[in-house]
Amino acid sequence: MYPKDFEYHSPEGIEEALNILEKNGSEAKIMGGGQSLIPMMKLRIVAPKHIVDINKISSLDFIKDEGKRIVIGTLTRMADVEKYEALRKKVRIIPECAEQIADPLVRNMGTFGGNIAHGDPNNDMPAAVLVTGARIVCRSKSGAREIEARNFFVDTFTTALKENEILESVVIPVSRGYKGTYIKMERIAGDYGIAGVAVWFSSDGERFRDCRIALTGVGPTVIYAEKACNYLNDQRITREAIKRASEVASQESKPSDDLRGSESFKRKVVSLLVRRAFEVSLKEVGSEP
Amino acid sequence: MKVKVSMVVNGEKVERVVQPRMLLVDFIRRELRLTGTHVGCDTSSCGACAVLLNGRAVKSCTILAVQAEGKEIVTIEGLSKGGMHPIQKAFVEKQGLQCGYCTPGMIISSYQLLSSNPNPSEEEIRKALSGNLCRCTGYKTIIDSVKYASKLMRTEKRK
Repeated sequence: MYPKDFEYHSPEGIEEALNILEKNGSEAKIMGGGQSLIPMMKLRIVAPKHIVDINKISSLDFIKDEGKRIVIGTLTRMADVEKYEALRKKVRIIPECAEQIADPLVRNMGTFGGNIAHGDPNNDMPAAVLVTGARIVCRSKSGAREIEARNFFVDTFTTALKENEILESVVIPVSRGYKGTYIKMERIAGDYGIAGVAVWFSSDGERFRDCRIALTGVGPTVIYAEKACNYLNDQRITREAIKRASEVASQESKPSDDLRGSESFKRKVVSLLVRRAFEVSLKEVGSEP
Repeated sequence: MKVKVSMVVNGEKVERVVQPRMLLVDFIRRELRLTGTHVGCDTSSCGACAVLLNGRAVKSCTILAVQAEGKEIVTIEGLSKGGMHPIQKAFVEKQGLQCGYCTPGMIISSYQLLSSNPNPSEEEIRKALSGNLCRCTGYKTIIDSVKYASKLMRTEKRK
């Protein structure tokens, strides 16, 4: 299968890339690892006239540990995110999510920024960055702006990123005392999840404090389960509270029937995964409900 | 509009003028006539097209040839340049293949694993090969082959 013909640009700096975007508007598409874009181009779901390949812009491939925050450049391969020690220690949900994306061959090429900028509701990383309270740095010729991850995902394949902008990096705050994980249920290895769940929370040992829950693959975009979070904040850490929250999160999801399951099945999976994510995380801190 | 692309494949510099939409796997198979790299699914699912790109195993059906500009590619032919590679010997010995279609990809993924982790556990092998599908073996003999290959490589000290 061949993509439709296109004009290929391979800028060596971000300024050059931004100029190409500015000039070609909606006809230009940025290519990072291409692990989502190339399959879509081969199936002719999309046929951009201009491909702006950013792989030569090595200044976009970095992870910087700045103590209270970790900044990840858009071009960082998922395989590198997975293995980065400081992330494991400080914001483990990010590498734990990374290692569940697709398969090792895809993660060697696929990029951190691409998984987020693509706006696919089935992509895993959006839920993980969302619960950590990350900020997305978008750059255009007129400068950079930061968008809260919660406001970044607009609709299916639609984000707050403008035509003339590049998702440059993601700023992940290091929040002391927060625990959590990302888990998904797959039909087969390497597939998108039937559903995925990210939980990230603080507690004082007896009660939940700040709880954040996000859901993958069960709506037009990643879903922040706000009602479930509100319910859980300041609740005592008990099995009943977690169960109730998982039911609320399941009600907040908006799955549709497809080859990965029926709507009602996916709601059950959401509720199961929320429970499991909390139980796994609490076990590790020794405050088992 | 065609563009010039040059890269190093199995240690030799190659240069061609191609359409930017040409996929790396087609570049390798049609332009270079290296047909050991297979097209299985053509939809990024099966891993039969795996090659090493600067030492990392990737799906060559999901990369444009122009993206390999200036990079080093190793295909299954490259691994067996100095005679059969220990991983290949291990796959023969332990019957890690039946029809053989997925085998080049399996060996490329195994190679990346064994170069960074010379003595992997079964769990690590399973994870490393999770991007490669086999419809014949049921994977058991493939896992045995990789375990055996790790032993061969440690004793032969070959990379």
